[in-house]
Amino acid sequence: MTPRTILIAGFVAIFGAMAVLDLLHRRRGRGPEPLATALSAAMRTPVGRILVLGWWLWIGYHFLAR
Amino acid sequence: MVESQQREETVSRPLLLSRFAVVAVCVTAYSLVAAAARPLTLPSTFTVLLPGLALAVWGIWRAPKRAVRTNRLTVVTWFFLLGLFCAWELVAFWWGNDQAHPTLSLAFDPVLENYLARVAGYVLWLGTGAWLVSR
Repeated sequence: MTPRTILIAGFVAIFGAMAVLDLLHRRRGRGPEPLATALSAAMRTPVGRILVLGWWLWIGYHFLAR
Repeated sequence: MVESQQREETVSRPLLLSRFAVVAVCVTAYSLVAAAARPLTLPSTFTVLLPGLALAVWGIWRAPKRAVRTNRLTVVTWFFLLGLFCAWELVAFWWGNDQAHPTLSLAFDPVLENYLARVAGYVLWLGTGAWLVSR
């Protein structure tokens, strides 16, 4: 197993866990609420809006422009 | 009371649908053009920062639409997963930060060299931004 495979497998596992938790609540109403609800709740305050939208902007710049 | 509420829902649904369609068409059209700009160039910086800054400023400026509340389990879980992702990024960064030891963005670099993948990237990113500012 190469380091590249290990690192990519780690990312897949983290995003997989996120997807599973999200779907678990949507389908069965179990566990934490979906990511969309968490983000909507974070966007209630001005500081939350700045942090979430700033992070979104950085992701776009980092992946698509840089 | 119930009747007027039902009437309101029937009237607002097509409006919502048409607004979604307009946003979807705009996002797709912009993505098709913006994806032509190669990464690490001035045009690509503009194609990201132009809609990015506009949406971010608008989103920060406008008042929250709904008061969505959540519970402690949700906050702890999503922060834990975000922390795990950041920690894994740091592992990749310190391990090598190259194609043999890629961070997430480095792993995506070969994929995003393809025009259609960049179009999909723009659609996903701008779509998420449009959704976020509507919160």
